[in-house]
Amino acid sequence: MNDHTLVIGGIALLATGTYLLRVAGFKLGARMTFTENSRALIADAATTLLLAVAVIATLLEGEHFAGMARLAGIAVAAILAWRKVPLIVVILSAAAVTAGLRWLGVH
Amino acid sequence: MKFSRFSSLNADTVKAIFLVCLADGIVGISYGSLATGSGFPLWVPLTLSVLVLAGASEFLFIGIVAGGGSPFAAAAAGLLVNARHLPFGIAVKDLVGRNPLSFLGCHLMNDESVVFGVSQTSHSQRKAAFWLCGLGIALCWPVGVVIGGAVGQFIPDTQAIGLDAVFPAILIALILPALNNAKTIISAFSGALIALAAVPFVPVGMPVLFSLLGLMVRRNKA
Repeated sequence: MNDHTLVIGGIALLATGTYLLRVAGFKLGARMTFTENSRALIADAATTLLLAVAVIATLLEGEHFAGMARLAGIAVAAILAWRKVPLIVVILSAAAVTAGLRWLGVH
Repeated sequence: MKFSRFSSLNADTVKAIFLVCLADGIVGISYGSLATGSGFPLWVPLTLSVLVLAGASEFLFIGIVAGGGSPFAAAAAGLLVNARHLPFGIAVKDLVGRNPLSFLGCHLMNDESVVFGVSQTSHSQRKAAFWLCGLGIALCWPVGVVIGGAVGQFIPDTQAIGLDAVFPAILIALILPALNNAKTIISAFSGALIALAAVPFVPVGMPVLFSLLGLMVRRNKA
């Protein structure tokens, strides 16, 4: 029972904290006045964060290399996206190449 | 009435958002069955999926508590992973809507909704993509968890169907058009390198924040 209380406390903390992070960013952004320059900087900040999320998720599982299959699937997807192939094809190719390589025994 | 708000989106974007929501739902199934399989009652992953709505931090929370860690330490680790939502909030401040809708809009912020939002051309498309993806995931993620909890032991192997490749692929595909000038490219790639280099030295979640240092590299070059 005590265990449950602790878990509820942990969930409440994570949920509240996460929500506050989201709202804080929004409020902060709404309060700032933007020059053309800072607008570009914020757009670049979003791009930079998202690329970092993508690169880490591509290469690592925990702290270890995630394996060639995932890397190859995402590399194919990146090339297709660069060639302006429709997004659904990009998504399905990433999954198909990765799954296919794993099925063939590449990890 | 409601749906007309999403009509500005092109068909390819809508299909891609649908696919991403579906993928999230499948990951939700595996999350639900994993959590209940490690001995948690279903309400734990379900409450997390509704109230936190940020997958990576929820997996981490469940993993740490299942491994005997304190729920508060697990929450702290999860918050570190979610710290990127603060800069995300600044980036999508025009997309989350006005009071009181913005309180829901903020909750819908995640990697996918942000990337779909910022990657569209017009303001109405940006807003529509952010909301459609955000609402879709807010629905599919908990539904997936409930299904996963119900089917229990049957853990769909998300790796075997290559789902782990889907999320990075969609992020890369959607930010690609933004990488159209030297400044952005230098910031983004040096940021990604800094983040990777930081992985062995700092707790999970922190490396992503380190990527923002890439913006300073750009400033010096400019």
